[in-house]
Amino acid sequence: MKLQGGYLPNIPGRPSSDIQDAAVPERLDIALRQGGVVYAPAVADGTPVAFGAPLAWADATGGRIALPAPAAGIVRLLPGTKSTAPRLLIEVSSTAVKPTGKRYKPGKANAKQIREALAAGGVWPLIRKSKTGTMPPLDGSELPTCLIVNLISTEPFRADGQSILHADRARIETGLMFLPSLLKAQDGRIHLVVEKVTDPDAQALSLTLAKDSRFKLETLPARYPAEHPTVLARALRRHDRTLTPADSIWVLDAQAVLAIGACLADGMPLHERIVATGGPGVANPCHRRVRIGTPLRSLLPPSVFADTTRLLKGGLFTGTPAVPDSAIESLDDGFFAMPNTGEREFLGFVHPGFDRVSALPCFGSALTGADDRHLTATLRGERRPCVACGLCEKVCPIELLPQILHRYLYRDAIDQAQAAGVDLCIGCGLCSYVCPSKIELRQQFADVQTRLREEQTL
Amino acid sequence: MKLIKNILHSVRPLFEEGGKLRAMLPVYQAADNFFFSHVEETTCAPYGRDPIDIKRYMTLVIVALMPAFLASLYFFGPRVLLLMLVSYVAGGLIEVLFAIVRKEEINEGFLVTGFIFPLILPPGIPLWMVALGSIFGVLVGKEIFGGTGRNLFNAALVGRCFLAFAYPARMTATWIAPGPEKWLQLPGSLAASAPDAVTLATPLGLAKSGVMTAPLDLLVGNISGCVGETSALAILIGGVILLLTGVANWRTMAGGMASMTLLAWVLNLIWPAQVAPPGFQLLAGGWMFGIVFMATDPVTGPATLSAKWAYGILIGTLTVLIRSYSGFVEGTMFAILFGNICAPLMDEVVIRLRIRRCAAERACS
Ligand code: SF4
Ligand code: SF4
Repeated sequence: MKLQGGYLPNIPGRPSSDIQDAAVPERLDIALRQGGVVYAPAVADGTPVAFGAPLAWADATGGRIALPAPAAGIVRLLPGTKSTAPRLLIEVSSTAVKPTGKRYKPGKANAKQIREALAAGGVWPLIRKSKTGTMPPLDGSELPTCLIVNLISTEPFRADGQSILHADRARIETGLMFLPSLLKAQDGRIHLVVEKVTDPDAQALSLTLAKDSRFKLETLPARYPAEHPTVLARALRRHDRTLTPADSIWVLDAQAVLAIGACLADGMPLHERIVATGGPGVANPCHRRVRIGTPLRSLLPPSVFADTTRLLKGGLFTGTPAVPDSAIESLDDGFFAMPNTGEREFLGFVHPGFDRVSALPCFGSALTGADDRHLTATLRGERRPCVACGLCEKVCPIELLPQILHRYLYRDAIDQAQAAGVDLCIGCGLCSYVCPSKIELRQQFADVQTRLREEQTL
Repeated sequence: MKLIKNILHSVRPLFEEGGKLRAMLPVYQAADNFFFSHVEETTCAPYGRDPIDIKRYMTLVIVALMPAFLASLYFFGPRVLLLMLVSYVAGGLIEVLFAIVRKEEINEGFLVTGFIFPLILPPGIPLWMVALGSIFGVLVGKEIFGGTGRNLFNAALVGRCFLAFAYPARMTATWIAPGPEKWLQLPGSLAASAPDAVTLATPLGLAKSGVMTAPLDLLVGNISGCVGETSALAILIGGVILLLTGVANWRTMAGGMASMTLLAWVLNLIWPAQVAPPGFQLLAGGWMFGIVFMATDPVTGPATLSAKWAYGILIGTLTVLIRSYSGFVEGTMFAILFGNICAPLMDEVVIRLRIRRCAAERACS
């Protein structure tokens, strides 16, 4: 498959591929609003819960989703404030995990059983519809023509699908075996997207799946944002011309398939996440297997909470400031820290730049292939009017014209911006990242999208 | 470095709220940010950013201009420095004035305009004309549109065009024969009006009367012509720098070079007497300088990448046509200015096509 635009800077401080187990803390902290889903508590304050018992339920299209207890213990209910969602605390009494759901054999479970088991295990929200980026309905009212299982991760500082595949291939293979039952038609396709088919893990995977002709191995260049559901679906639609706009495509990542394998084959509810911790402000960047609800303060070193450091949740391009007193949620897969000030360099604009990397090969690093050792949470330049350099257009994965959209929005021509596709922006952030004039393109487009949505609901 | 830091620090209160020079704050900011890179925290995603900024961008254009500048120093002597000084001071004053009035920051774009402007003038031009042209170019070409980033026309070309129409005789009678000996004729060669300015035909002018200049001279630049435009070789080195660093868009350059070569070749086959051969057309006059440094000015060209192709092709085609079939000897300047006018139209076409694709895309999402 082909990827339009995209860009991948050479950034150090990425997590290494080994996955370490993080200790389960004495107290888990679970937000009742996560991943855009609002949960209502199902347990009373002060009562004990068993591992995997539903702590809360959320209504979803065609059913309800459980929030399983990641560990056994005593529950404390904390009401929300104006700015924070209500939370549940679990005073952990036992860190042991054990199967709580029914165990299925691949091929022996039908679609309805799978959907119900995944909803009860809290795993269903990990599946995304490519059209809306939200979870699919639970009642089978919309079924996917094909599934995309994405094993590529490009956004710096987020958990890496390849490392997860390497560490847990057997479980992922089990998870994959259940997927054909979810398809709309028996002969639907499941596209496994990898960077290179020659990668040993990808080869082993394709060997196991060779018996089933519904699985297809696809490659996509490892340029950000190759892992974005919309970008993946877009690439697939261009690759496979038999797909019509009416066809639904669902997207899963390595962690989702891993959780599906654990939930269906072993009866394990969703209770842990593989989270990358890295960035220029973190020593020993690596992956960690973390119990959901683990407070950030017990997972990360104190240095990342300092005033001079910006702690972010997510990856380099889309990450947002992490709340220091929050905890790991069921969709988290990366945290990183950057210094939030830089030094004021003397005559910085003539610096040879062997230590910084740009989308334009105009620093010394273009000759040496060095990586960007100067990444900070700063603009690295002054704000200027657009000079029409076209860099933003070059990197946009949706082939929008960010500079033109900006021009329209600069004079408040929202209608024109909408016609030119501002509603299609996926907010990947690449345009803002590369803009030499430091224009907040992504933010501008996101604001307009919010405005348009509000107008629509009025 | 310490010293500059201390000076900046000690004069700072003058420019702050209540200070005597409050209105001059843009000047202070420009100096401060010139010496010490600006550091500002990001406030929305992506929180990390690419190190490229406009200062770096403009610096690289200046670096790419260096070979042509050095060649001009060699051929036309110290007078070039004088022209440059006048161009910077005159245009810079306007830029600073407008920054103060608008309470905006001083824009780096002027550093490039001020550098390019003297390079596209005849070397013997009187200094007052340089000042006038520079002021006119910055004022009319840029500031009335709202400054760098919003201007329609290339400011240096507007200045030059103004001089060409206002003082046509002076613009064609102030050529200087090239040669390094001018460095020995100090201070004579620094006079306000060059003493050795003559009405000397440039290679393009000579070609109109059937005299072809030797290709080697054209390449090296040992010919009569505008200050920085004579040495095709030096300009090409600059062009390679621009392309390798990605600062200039290769589409414009490729489109221009290809269309110019192709059209000149075809027309030369049909009307050999009227149309000069492509090799000559590429090397002579202001073409090389224009396509490498002025057609690639992103602000005044089209904003979209596909339109940059069309823009280059338009400029190449027009240059050949004007040179061959009009009363003008040189057509690059007009071709680029006309291209500036057409740029928004070209963008509009690209946008229209893109809007159609958006509709298809929306169906899938
Ligand atoms: S990257 Fe920035 S300066 Fe360049 S065209 Fe896009 S918006 Fe304009
Ligand atoms: S944020 Fe939107 S406009 Fe910018 S590159 Fe990404 S998809 Fe394109």
